[in-house]
Amino acid sequence: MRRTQRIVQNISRASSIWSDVPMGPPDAILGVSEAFKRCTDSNKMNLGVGAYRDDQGKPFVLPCVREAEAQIQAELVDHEYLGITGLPAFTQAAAKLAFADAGNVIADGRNVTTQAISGTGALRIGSAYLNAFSGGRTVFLPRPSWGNHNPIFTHGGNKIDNFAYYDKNTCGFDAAGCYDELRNKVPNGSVVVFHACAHNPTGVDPLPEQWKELSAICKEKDFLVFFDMAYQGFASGSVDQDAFAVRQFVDDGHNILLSQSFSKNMGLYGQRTGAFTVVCKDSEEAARVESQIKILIRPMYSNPPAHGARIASKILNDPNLNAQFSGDVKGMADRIISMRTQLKAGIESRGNPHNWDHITNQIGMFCFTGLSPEQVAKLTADHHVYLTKDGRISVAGISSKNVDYLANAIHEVTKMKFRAKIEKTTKIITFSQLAAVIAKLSNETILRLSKKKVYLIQSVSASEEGVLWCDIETKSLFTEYIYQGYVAPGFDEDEIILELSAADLCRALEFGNQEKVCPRDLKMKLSKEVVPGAKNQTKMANTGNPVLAFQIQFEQVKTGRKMVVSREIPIKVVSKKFWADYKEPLMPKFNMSIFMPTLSKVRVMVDKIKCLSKTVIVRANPEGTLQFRTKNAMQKISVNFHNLEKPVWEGEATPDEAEASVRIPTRLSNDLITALSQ
Amino acid sequence: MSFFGNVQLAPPVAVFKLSADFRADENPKKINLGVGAYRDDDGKPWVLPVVSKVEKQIALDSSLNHEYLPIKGLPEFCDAATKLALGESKCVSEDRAAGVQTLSGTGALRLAADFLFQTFPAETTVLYSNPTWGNHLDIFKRAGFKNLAPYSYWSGDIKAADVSKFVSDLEAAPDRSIILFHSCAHNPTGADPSAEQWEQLAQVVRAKNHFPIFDTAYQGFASGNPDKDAAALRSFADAGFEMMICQSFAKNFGLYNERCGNLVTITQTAQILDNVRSQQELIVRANYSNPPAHGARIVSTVLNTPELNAEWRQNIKEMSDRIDLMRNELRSRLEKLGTPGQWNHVTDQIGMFSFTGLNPDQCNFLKNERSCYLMSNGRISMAGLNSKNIDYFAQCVDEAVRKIQ
Repeated sequence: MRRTQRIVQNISRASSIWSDVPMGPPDAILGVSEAFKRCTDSNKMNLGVGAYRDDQGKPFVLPCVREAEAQIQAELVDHEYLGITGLPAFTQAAAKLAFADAGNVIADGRNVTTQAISGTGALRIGSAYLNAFSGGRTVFLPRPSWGNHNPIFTHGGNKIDNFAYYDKNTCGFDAAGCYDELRNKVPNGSVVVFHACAHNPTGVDPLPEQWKELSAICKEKDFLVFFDMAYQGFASGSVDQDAFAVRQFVDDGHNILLSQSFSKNMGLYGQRTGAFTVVCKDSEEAARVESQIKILIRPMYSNPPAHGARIASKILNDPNLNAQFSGDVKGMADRIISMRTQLKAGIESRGNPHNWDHITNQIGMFCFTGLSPEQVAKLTADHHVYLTKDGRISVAGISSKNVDYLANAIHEVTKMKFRAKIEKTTKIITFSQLAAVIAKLSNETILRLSKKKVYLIQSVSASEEGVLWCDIETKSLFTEYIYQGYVAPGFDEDEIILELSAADLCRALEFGNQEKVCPRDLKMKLSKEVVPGAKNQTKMANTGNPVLAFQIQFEQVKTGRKMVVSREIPIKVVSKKFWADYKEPLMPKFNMSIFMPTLSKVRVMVDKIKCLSKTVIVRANPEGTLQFRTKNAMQKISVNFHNLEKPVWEGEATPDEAEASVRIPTRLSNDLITALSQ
Repeated sequence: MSFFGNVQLAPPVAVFKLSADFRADENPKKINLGVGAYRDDDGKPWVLPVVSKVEKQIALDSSLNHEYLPIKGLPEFCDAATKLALGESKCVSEDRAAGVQTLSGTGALRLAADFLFQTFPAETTVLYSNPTWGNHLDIFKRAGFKNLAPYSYWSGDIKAADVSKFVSDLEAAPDRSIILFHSCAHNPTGADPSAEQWEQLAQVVRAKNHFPIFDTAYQGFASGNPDKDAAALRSFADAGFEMMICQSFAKNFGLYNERCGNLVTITQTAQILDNVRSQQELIVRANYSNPPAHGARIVSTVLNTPELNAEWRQNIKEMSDRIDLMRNELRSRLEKLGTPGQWNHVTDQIGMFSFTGLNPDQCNFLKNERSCYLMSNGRISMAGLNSKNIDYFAQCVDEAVRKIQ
């Protein structure tokens, strides 16, 4: 008789076997979910977890799955062990779903397909199989890849490395980088992992033509290709379209490895339903490979769980349920695609200047937004939107009810921000005079803001004859200067480039008689036009039109009374693709450089001669002589200035030529001198 | 060139091969005594009535979905399973014991082995029972352990566990070895140590600083009483050992194919337990991300609902009683036939299996000439016997023992 009995009383507390075991790092996604749970804001959104949600934000059980479960329940099913490789009706149907008739793989009996503990389990068997039989080949993963790929392949005993895949600048596929690294960095015969569709985490897939190119490169380099297919049907809504890459490679003669998951496309997440396939040379090889795969599975978990496989098998093998499945999976894909469209439109409609094409170009559950870790942190802190630091959002977590909220939140953290303050009267006046100069030269002006300098640039489109550049050290003018711009290709730092009317700017900075009323303090910021709200609303309404708002504090000189005046001028944000036009030009090579005489003198003289001709010729020589000269059919008149100093240029000096001359339109000479002499 | 042209054809797993041979046999009298799955008196697979009932509830409950379980599994399942193993042991109330849901017993053993290989020196010796379940060795080997050694267990002479040899083998093993115990209904012998013998074993484990790990595949199925079957586990836990328990719900819930198991770890402090479980979580993540929900949902519902729990205890009693009956019937038939040798071990043994003591030639005769499919080590699954085939089987055994020495 065996009875409960105290065996050894009071074992001495020897040191624990595990006192040195450290706490493992928490799962990133789990951390996101837990932070989300703690958040009490009613607008909170969880965009971390990769599980589909319906438009009510609720977990979704596919109707075909409910139906299959009801049928299974009605049948008298037992709970006897499955074979080591699982339910044959399921594995055969899974292989057919992936390959159809590609490469005659199924007809020739070249596939070894075993049931697996969903996609992870399939990859894990693959990992163990490679470790046992691939002869130590390194496994190359796309950069970036699903976070679990690394531990799965490492835990199986393989060496891992990576190859270029994602282009941060375009939030798209880096085809050139990928081809180059596969050709030149990855050794021949390596194992290369591709995401068959809906790349996780980027949502970026190669185009069909690019897959063909990849297939050719892999052939050339004798790579063993391992496809991870976690989203078949879920990405495009069509199981066949999403299997394009797998079938193309098999048609091209690649004997691939394949992991399949039914978590997403059938929503069987918690039932751990998946399959692992090795495509072999022939059926004889397949028999050998299968025998070894059984040996690997047996000490892992003996045999797989039946419930999910029974459901998937019923759905795939029953024509009615299969048809229903096609509709169900398309419904999910369509909702995701529609959320992408709405999110992009929502951000763009707010006048956000970034390019958001990648939201709709990407595919599947995830969108790699391109948000920086700082922006992600702000999105969470200010807007209660929870996502992983890499900027990945699960599009399935968005619904028609919160898509606009999210669009606004993303806009808020990515929109441009600018606020500045001038606190000295003389500096305010200088700034105002500058505006007046610009206004005289052109209607449209570019205001370029960067960390160190503010530029006023005469718009290229307004004047074909020249571009006026004016730069101001922000430190010299502003006592406060806060901004958030963004980095355009070719720019080192984040900047903001705006287009505005020079006349508006000039008017906004007009101060009247400064002996009576003196500006003491000027604030300016990027804002939105605010107009009085509708009748019953006391709140002011926001039109969404961007403006540059000024707030100027004046002081009445006599009384010392202060008053504040607010002014707004409409602005247009310059699209990033035109930014290159406003890069500071390099100092052009010049033939001659010379200091100008006092400008008022020049103006008097030039004014007097310019009526003679439409053009003025300006000539100078190294001895310091500057000549303004006009001529018409009858006469020549010139005004000469002598003994002018020559400037010293930083860096390389351009040698002066013996003499230099330029012909400029009279009208412009006038404008130029007028402007310079202000 | 194929990447895998040099992959060799591996031998089939013996027990699966036996089933395949059985299925191919056309003899109407054939008996499958190989696989360790319960059969009712009609030789049919048996879904426990309580399981059927709960599955119907689940199927009708539209509030349930198929979302991912946490990496460590369904918490209410793990808690109930841990409590089932440890009862009122104070390690539970002190938060020093907790479970991680696993892919049945094999998955629990593999997770334990993977974790132990990470935390013990690589040269650590793992001692396993001779004989033991065929998969034990492979599991620890695949996890990376190189030093595996058997401890003496079964004695053909006494047709029972030779515990004095068992104890001396544990004494002779290097300090801090890992000892893999069967907590009840030893597979394949069906012979368990007595309470006093467990006490001897505990003393040597303590003296040598060995690490005990228990394979618990038959709790409740062995004696019909889950608490009785957990006696060894609870006495070790109460004695303050750090240890692991690998639970399977394949047999006692008849949930063979739903892969429902639990790895219980007991540590000295709650904080150490948190660290240990965090590492186990990483291993699960890299192996299969998270466990399957269906089986865990059933077991959790049954264990956590008092009426269903009582019903389950009735169900396992029914299975256990039928097995007991078959043991008595077989022994009395062999004794009545005067079959040479002693047959008391058939009823002394417990659980699904009986180690008959038949030699490989006798087993082959039974398999090849009489369509009685049993493992060549003489192990029979008692569940394969029923009121219709027990006479035939007893006669065949009698014939084999008389004919073949």
